[in-house]
Amino acid sequence: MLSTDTLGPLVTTAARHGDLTSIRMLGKRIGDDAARSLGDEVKEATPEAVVAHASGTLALLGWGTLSLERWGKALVLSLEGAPQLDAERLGLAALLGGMLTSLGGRDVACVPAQEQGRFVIVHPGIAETVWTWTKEGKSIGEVISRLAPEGST
Amino acid sequence: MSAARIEQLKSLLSRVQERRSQPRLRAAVAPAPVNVGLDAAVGVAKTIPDLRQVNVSMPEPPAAAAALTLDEMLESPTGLVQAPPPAAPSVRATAPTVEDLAPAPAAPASAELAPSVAAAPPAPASVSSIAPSPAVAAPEPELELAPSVETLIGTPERIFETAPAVEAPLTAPSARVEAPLLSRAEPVVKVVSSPRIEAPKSFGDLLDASLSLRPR
Repeated sequence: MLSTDTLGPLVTTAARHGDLTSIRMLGKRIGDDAARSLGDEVKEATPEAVVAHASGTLALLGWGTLSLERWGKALVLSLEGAPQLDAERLGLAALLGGMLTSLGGRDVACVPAQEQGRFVIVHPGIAETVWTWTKEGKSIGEVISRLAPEGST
Repeated sequence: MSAARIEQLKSLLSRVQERRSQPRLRAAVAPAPVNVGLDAAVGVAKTIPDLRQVNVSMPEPPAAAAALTLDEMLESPTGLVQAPPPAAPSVRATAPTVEDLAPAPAAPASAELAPSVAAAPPAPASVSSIAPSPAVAAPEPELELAPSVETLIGTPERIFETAPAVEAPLTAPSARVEAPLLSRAEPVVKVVSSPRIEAPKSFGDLLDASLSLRPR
């Protein structure tokens, strides 16, 4: 595995060029390791168990401490102590998105929120919209209040 | 009228006539003898007028003395009007009671006009004897009622029309799942949840619910 000093410049360069594929792939690797350590079917496991294993794997690699928050129906990831890869934290968002994609078995996008260290878990199809709201200064509550379960609108 | 009564009246009448027939006081002023020297006598003569030439008159007795009525004479056999009994002593032997002190008299204008200790406090006027003051008797103007709430803000239906329901944005997570620190001996999972949180769901259910959100 690569250290943060090595991985940081790579992620920064990738984010500047708009290509975070490598970071996302790294996140998938971390997710596979967490799922393997969990043993059981990840989707049937409790959130606490999944977060515990995923956080442990990330912490072993020096990515900080992971926690999961529920904001109504929305999920928000909080990563504390993570290295600063880029100013907009898109590298960490790609890393976490890849990890959750591996754990959940479906494509997941993480969008950096205004609140430091937090990422909103959304469908990849609306990630660009949510990212626009975040850049406009909308808080997590305001972003989530603009969302509604599919089919209810 | 009985004969005794008539006799009594006659005797009273005779006494009255006798009383009226008594000679009245006349002014009889004689010049006083002066035993002084010649010089002094001249001076006295200049300063002292002849008293015989001074008109001295006595005032007439008050008419009330002769205006005795028959009833007054009957009440007093001697024909003299008795003086009224002396007034009660002005100093009270007992301390004033609360009732005496209750109606506070008006403050005197000066010390001379202050009532004495024995002066009884003025009796309070009864309620019926107090004439209503013009301010009280005059009818009070009707007070304007404050505008009702409906007047100010409209009917509730109007409020409902102008205030659409808006969901309050979330300001804090409703649940939080934290991963344990590696330095701890045993993994600790901290779950912070509010009472409205439903029964625990699997990670897959939560993830599906979050991914199903779309812009409104």
